[in-house]
Amino acid sequence: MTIAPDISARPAPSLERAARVAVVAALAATTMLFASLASAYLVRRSFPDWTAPALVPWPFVLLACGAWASIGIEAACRSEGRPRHRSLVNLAAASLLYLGGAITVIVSIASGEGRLAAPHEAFVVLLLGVHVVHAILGGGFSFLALRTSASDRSLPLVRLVTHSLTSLLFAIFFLLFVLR
Amino acid sequence: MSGVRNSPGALARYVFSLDHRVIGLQYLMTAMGLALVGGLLALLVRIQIAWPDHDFGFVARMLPQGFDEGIMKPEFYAALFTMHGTIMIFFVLSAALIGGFGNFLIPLQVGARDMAFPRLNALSYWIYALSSVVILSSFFAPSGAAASGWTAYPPLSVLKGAIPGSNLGQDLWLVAMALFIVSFTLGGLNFLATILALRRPDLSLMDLPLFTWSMLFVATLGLLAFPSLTAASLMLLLDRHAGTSFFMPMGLVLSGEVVPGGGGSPLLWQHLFWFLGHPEVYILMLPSLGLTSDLFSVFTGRRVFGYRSMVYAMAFISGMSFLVWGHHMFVSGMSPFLGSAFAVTTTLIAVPSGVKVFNWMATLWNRPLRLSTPMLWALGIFSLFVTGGLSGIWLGQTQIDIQLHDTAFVVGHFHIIMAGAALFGVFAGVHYWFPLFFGRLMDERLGRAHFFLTFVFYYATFFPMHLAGLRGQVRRVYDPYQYEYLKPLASMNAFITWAAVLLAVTQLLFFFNFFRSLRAGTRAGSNPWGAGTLEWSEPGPAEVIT
Repeated sequence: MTIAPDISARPAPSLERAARVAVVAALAATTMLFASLASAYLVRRSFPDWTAPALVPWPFVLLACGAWASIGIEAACRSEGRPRHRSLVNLAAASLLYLGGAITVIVSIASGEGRLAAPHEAFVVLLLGVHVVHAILGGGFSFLALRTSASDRSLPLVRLVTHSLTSLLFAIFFLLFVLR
Repeated sequence: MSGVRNSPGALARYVFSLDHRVIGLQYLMTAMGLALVGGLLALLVRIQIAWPDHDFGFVARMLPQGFDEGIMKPEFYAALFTMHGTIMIFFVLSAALIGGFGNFLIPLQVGARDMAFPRLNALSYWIYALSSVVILSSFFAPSGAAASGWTAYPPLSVLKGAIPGSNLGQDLWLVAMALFIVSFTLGGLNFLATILALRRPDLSLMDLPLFTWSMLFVATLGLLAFPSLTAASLMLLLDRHAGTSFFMPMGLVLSGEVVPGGGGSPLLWQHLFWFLGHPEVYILMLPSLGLTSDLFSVFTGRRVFGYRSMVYAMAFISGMSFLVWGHHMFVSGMSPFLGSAFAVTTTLIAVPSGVKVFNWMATLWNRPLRLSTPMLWALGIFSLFVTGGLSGIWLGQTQIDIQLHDTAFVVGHFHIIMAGAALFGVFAGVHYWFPLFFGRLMDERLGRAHFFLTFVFYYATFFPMHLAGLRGQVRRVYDPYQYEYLKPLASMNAFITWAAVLLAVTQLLFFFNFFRSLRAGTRAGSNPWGAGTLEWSEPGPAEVIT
């Protein structure tokens, strides 16, 4: 009696292709989510109660973490053995630092009396919060992918996810702090 | 079959299964259960519109919070149409057509052993089940279910104390929608991965049944459109609970007092909502249209006319669905130039729709038709698609839409083109694939009776709504006859309600036929309809289910 097909019997290339399609589709959905939030931001900033944000130092720290993560995965893809392992540790460290920093920023804004009533601050919390959730999901996916086979097969997917998340982070900060 | 697990427990077989066929049927059964709830809500809405002072008696005793001495409360009426729309659009029709048929059929039609990610697939169903529980539980919230319409327009949906349903009920609505979107996204990823990556090597995309093509487009639409509702829902939750002002306007007066804060715009929600809302129309319709094409091919015994153009038409419709959302907002004060642009893009959708209609006619032309029940439903979809499409051309024009906006005309239109086509698609699919699901055929006589009665009562219910709308009948009004000019429409509304009651009673035939056929239906062979698609090349019905 059949219940669950034995997926291990399926040829690996098909599953790899399937994983690639799924990751690209998931990233497309994520991009659409940020595009929706970005378009809402662009509309909202044209309203009369909008106040321009002051430039603060923390975004640069988070951007540095994102860049560090991207460099880490690139280095991992271009090396083997212990150097690859070291690069992956770098990626993990950068990701954890980013998560810690971003969550600290979100909590500090959200706990400030009336700060969320300021539309720019609200968008900082919203965009950063959504990015943190995606970073956690992407990190979880990367961890699982690399744990099951830290090989040449799963690294390109992890690279795609990492670079996409870093690109989104840069886009968010461009939107929030550079675009005037 | 090699590599299978033997003798699993009943719980693993029927509840926590990873088999795409079981998961498909779980979706279908859950959607059927929710359809009963959604249908009942619709009946209550219709009875209220026809006879506003009606004493609901038994129903009022069962749901005392919604009635006052047997008379329905206005806020309960608002909750009814809100929950009816939400449940039917997302939790019934989307789930049955896509979750149900999609899960069951896609791997079979592309020659895969299962979905690409079976665990993700099961997770998708269970999140959908959880979202269904959450949306239903809002009826038991202390102040009642959400009551701001299925579109949840702010500021009503932002203000926690505006009406009873604005409290916990609205939060539960948002949580249920968020869960539903997660479920749909997981399912969509699986659909795309399975169709694109696990297809049999000798099966090119242009060999796929049009139903599978429709699933490919629907999954893409869902993945790209639902995020905008996710974004909007997050912002609405923050507005409600964190004091942000994305949608909350400034200077809003509630019960004589100015609501503090604000500065946002309710129109922002409308843009985000309809960026999902219009693709959602095609998410519901495309599976039915794809299935109709396949059924015409099977029951005429010829390949569907213009197969490639059918694929391109669906692709064009899918793409254009992202460029027409503004036609839902013609009365929002948008620039007339922008309105014209949206009118043009909306009208352009008539072109691929016309291609589909032409191809269907050419497929049917000069062929002996086997009028089995699935074919009858397919012809019904054809009829609804043309009828609803024609009124859609009206509503796509700013000049006419501004007059008809928020009237019963719109209600009649979308129930025919979207709800009707999707609902008929569910019936067509269930009748057609029942042998594949359960190894038996549904009763043909009961099936035909169900079709003809449903067809007649469906039009009897929704066609007069166009006339009522043309005469100014506004939608979502608790008591239409508080307005003098609507009093002459009382008999028309009573007629519509009686037709709706008969339509509902007719559905008992379907349920009777369905459950009776599970045990007493004629045993089907491996390919009872003589179809040429891959799912019928399986040796027999899903053995886990029989």
